[in-house]
Amino acid sequence: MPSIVSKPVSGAPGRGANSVPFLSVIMRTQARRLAAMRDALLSLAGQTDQDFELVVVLHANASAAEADFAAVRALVERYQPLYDREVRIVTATGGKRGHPLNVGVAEARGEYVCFFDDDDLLFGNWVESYRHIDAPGQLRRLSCAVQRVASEAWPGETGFRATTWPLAAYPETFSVVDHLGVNNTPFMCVAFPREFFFADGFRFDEQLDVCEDWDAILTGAVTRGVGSTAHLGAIYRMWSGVETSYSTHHRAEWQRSERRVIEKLNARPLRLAAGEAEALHQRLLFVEQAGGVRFMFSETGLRRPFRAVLRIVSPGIRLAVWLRNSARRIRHRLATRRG
Amino acid sequence: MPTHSVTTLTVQSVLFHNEPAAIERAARAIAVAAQHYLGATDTTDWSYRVGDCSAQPVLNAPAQKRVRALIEKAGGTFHYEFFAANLGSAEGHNRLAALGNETRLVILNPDAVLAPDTLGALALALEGERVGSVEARQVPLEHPKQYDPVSFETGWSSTACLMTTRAAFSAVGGFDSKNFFLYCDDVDYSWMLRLAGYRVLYAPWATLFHDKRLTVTGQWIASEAEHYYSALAAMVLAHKYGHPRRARQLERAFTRGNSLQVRAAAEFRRRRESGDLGLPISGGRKVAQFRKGLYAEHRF
Repeated sequence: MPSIVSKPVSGAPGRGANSVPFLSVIMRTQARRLAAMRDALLSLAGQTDQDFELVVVLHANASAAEADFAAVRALVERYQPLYDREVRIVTATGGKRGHPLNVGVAEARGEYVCFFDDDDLLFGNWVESYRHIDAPGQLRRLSCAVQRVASEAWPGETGFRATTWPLAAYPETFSVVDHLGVNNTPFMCVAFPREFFFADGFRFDEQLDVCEDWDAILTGAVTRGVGSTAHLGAIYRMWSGVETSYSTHHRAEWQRSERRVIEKLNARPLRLAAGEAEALHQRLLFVEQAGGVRFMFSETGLRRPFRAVLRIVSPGIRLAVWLRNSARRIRHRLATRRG
Repeated sequence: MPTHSVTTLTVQSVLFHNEPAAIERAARAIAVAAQHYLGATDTTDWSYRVGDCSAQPVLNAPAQKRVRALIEKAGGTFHYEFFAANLGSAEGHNRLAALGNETRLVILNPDAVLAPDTLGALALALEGERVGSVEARQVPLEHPKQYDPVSFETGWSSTACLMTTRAAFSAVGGFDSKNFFLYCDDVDYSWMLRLAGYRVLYAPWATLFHDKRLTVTGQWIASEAEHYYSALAAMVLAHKYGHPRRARQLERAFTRGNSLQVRAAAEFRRRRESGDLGLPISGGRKVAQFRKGLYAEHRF
C-alpha cells in the first residue's frame, strides 16, 4: 500500500478552506529538475485566474528519496505566499508513473482536475482558458506549443537554456481519430471533470510503464467527449542532455504500453464527436488506396527487388532534394535583400 | 530623503492603463521577493515606487492602501505617483529614480510576477566585477538573445526586470528619454553601460513571470505601439550609434512599409531635419550590433 502523508504548507493567504476551487492542479515530482520546477511554480503564480489548488505529489521510488524531497518542500514553502490557496504536499511511494497521479486525484477537490508536470510552462491564461470552454461534463482541451531546452551549468546548480522558439506543433482541435494513432495533447492541456474520476471511477492504470496520459485522454474522450479551444495554453518542454521518459523507457516498454491502451479501448464501444465520421472515412479511403502499394512493406515476392531499386536510386533522390532546397534558400535570400 | 544604508534597494514600475488586479498581484510577489532579499543581503531599506502615466489613476485609494500594507509588512515603503501625463517608459523611470538615492534600482514591468529568489539572485550577480546591470529571465516566453554560457554576458538587457546600480545609472545619465519614448530604451541603456566600461549580464536562474502570449499558430503578438516605436527606435539607434547608412536604409524601407512604419519614418525625418537627433556618440560602433533587425545574436 502506498504511504500518503498530507502536509499543508503554512502561510496560505487567501480563499476560504471550504470553497471549491475551479481547478485542481496535480503536480507529480521526483525532484530531478528543481530549476525547471521553479518555472512551473512561477507559471502558476502568474495565472490571471487564481481559482485553483495545487497538490504536489512526491513520487518516492528507486530514483528519488525523502532527502531529495526536502528541497521540494522548501521550494513550495517559498512559493506558497504567491497563491490564493494552500498548497498541499503528499507522498506516493513506489509504483509506476500512474501511481502518483492516483494519489493526487484522491486529494483533488476542484470541479476540474489537471495534471501539470514539474518541468513544463504555462501561459498566463491557462486556468482562464479552461474556464471559458463551454463543455459541461466534458474534458476541456487547450492547444500547446513545444520548445526545445538543453541543459547548461548555472552557479551552483544544473540549469538550462531554451534553444528554439515555442512552436505550435499540435493540432488546434481535438480529434479522437487522430489521437487513436498518437497522443497529440500534452497532459497539462487537458482538464478532466471531477466526475470522470469520482462518478465514472477512472483511475490511472498502474501497470502502464508510460502512456498513462494517453490512456486517460482517450478514455475520457470516448466516454465524455472533449470541448476544445485553439488558444495556446502551455509550453511542452523537450529536454536534451537530461533523463526523460523517452530516455529511461525502452522502445519495447513504449510499444507494450501503447498496445495495452489500445486493447483496453478495444473492449468498449467508442463515441465520436461531430465531424469525426468524415475524418475516419478519409483515413479508411487512404488505407484502401495504399493497400495497392502494400507490397513495399509486407513480405511478398516483390518487396526485395523493390527495396533493391530504392537503395540504388535513393542517393540520387537525396541529391535532387538538397539541390531543390538550396535553390529555394538562395531565392529567398535574394528576395529578402531586394525587399 | 531615506537614510542611506550600506546597500538600499528600490523597485520601480511605470503604469499605463494596466489591470489593477495585475498590479496588486505583482505587488504581492515584490513583497515576497523583497523579504527573501532582505534575509539574503545587508540591505535594510527598500522601497516600491510606482509612476502612473495613465489618463486616470490605475490604483484607487483602497487599492493603494492594500499595496502599501503588503509592502510595509515586508519592511519597505510604498510611493505611488500619478504623473497625469503619458511620459513614456524611459522618462517615467528617470522620474522615479530621481525620487530617491538607493544604491540599487530594479526596473520592473508593472504586471510582472517576481519569483521569490529573484532579487537576491540579481543582487549577487550584480556584485561581480564591473557589472552594471543584471537581467532576469522571462517566463513563459524567454527572450531569444544569446548570452555567454560561462560569463553570462549579453549584448543588451531587457528592462522587463533589470537590476542596476545607482552608480552605473548615474554614470550614463539614466534612460535616454529624449530619443526613446517606449521600446529600445533598454537596448540603448545597455549599450551606454557597455560604452562606459560596464558589463551587462543575463541571469537565467533569476526569473519573473511576464504574461506574454502567442497566437494560435505560435506567432508573437505585437501592439500598434510596439510596431511604431520599435521602427522609430531602430532608426534612432542606428543614427545614435554611428550607423548612418543603416539609418537611411531603414528610413527608406519604412517609408514603403505599413502605415505605422510610414509614420515612424516621418517622425525620424522630422527629428533629423530639425536637429533633434543630435550627433552620433563617440565609440558607438564598438558596442552596437545590428543583425537583421535585431540588436544581438539570437539563439533562435
